[in-house]
Amino acid sequence: MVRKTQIITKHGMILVSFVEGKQSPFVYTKTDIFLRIVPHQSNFPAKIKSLKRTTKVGYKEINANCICIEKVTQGSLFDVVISRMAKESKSLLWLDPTMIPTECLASIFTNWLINTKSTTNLGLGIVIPSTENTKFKKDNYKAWTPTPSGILRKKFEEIKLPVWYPSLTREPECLKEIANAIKPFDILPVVEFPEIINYAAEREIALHYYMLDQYRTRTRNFIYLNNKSPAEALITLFGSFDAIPRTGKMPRSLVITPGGKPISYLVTLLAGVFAGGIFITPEMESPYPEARDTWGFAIFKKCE
Amino acid sequence: MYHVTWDQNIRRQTEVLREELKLIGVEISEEKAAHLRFLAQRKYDRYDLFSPGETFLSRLISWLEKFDKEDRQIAMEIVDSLKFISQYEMMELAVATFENIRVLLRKNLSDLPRENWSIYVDSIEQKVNDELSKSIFIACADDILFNYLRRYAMQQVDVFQKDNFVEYYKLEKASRVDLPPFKRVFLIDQLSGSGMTAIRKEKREWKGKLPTFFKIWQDNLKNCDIYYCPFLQSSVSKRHLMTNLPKWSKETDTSSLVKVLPTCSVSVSSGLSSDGGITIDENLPVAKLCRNEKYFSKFVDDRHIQKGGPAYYGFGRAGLTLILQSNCPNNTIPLIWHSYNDWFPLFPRVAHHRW
Repeated sequence: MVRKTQIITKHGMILVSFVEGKQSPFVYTKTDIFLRIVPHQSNFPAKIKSLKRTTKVGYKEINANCICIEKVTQGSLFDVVISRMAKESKSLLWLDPTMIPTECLASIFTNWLINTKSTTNLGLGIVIPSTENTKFKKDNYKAWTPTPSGILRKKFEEIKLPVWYPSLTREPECLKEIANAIKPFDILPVVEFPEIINYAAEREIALHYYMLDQYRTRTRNFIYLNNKSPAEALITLFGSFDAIPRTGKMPRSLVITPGGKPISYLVTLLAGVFAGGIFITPEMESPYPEARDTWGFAIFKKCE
Repeated sequence: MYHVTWDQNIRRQTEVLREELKLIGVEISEEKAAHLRFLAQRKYDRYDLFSPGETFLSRLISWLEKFDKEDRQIAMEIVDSLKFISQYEMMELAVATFENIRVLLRKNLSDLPRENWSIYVDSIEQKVNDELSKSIFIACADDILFNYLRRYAMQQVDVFQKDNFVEYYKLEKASRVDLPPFKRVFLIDQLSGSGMTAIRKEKREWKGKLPTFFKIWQDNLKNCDIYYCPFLQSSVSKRHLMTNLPKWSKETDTSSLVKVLPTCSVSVSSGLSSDGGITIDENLPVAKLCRNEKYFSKFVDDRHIQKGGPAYYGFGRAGLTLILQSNCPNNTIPLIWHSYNDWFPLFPRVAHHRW
């Protein structure tokens, strides 16, 4: 039977599961580890220790520097942890994205994606914070791609035939400027599916009228992300990313600007990492600046 | 040769709209005019009941002219609070309804193995699919894109047979013998604006879709969980169903209480509410305009509308300014949709209730 909660990436098949709740629904094994990542902007372990955890996950807790910092020093503790955990059967590596910049978060996900195999059965667990709507930065947007040991910057003009997925929760002026810089071949706006019909939502989309009219963006191209069912949102978005022709004589570039509520942001970021896209985000933006509560957990498992 | 660029054309259309509105006494900012032009072209012009070539903006001017000059600026506030659900958005609602059901089933699973994460993740979807195969989905209205919902569901999980999906709830007993065994029913509806189409008491008798469904299907519903799943549910409907479903269940000795699982809530229009869409504020200018005898006297309460009480704010006082691409609900304020006594509707409506 084909299980539609799976994503088939270049680096293997991934089983996706999102669980809503404040406590993990399963028992931890002794090899499950919570990896506390020092945010990229700060290299002070004292700061990371003072961070309060909204939920307790994993059996053991290990502090590690962000892989972007470690690649220039003595080698990544993250890689060491992954290689040790891979020797155990059915271990789960837990992460909390609070305070971690988008670039670092994407690099960590990429590291797990590339350095684990289905046979090692090392899962990735992400604590999803339930913060209010993030106040996104409005300037200093940069293009980059994640790698297992940090990011590679790209110049806007280097991006060929970009097919761009901007979150319409971003400032209209910022998106307009990016559009003028990258000159997208096509735009597929990402919109959050509302739980409550908001009469103002109509006008919020209209704020982007200039960009949408300029690039003749069809309403049919809008992609709705339903926060109530994030697994399906992730699979839908990944399916759309994966459908872009990225080989051949005129390959398109997949470009993503995530935004929106914590779950939408995570879903868009993960789909982009799994599909190997280019991100355009404000430099060192933390989508989860402070965690007040936990929405739930995302669990990823490589499978055959 | 003079060449008009796309942005020059947009600017010209926006300026003409502002100028035209100004001529009939309505002032709006340049930004607002730009947004209205965009929404008109992207959404409102696609209303199914407009004649070919007819546009929202041309209707808007004719509609505003039906008001006295001093009331037109307030009427424009109604336009500011319109919410138009396009056919594409309706498709998303159908998808979200199915996904909501999957989320509900996931939450209700009780016998999952919890020894470790790997076994848990492996088993959860299998169990949800088992539960889905024991469910049937029944359409309670047209315009819910039921075929689209069915195809989407069958594409997502391969446990369904075509008979898990019943295209209308009024299904003869003879046809029900072909249904697969089920322990759960999802009644899919489009909009529950007042809740009265779903259930109401008339002369000591319970009427509406839900009592009718139980009457027809009573032999098939033993030990069955019933969920009523409207794509859209207003706050008025929520209150109505919360009060009336337990009463009905008690009075008729219905074995299972119907649970309501809306996909999206619809609040009272922003032009009619000052508490974030919970209740209607009768003192707001738009509310006063809706009640104004000059205009409301033109409206005719037909026998269907009368069942919901005075309809200044739409059937059942739902207070919506919601338009669906296929039709305008009667729970939307009638100034927008009625065409009695020479009134010109902004979005003409075709009535389809058969009470």
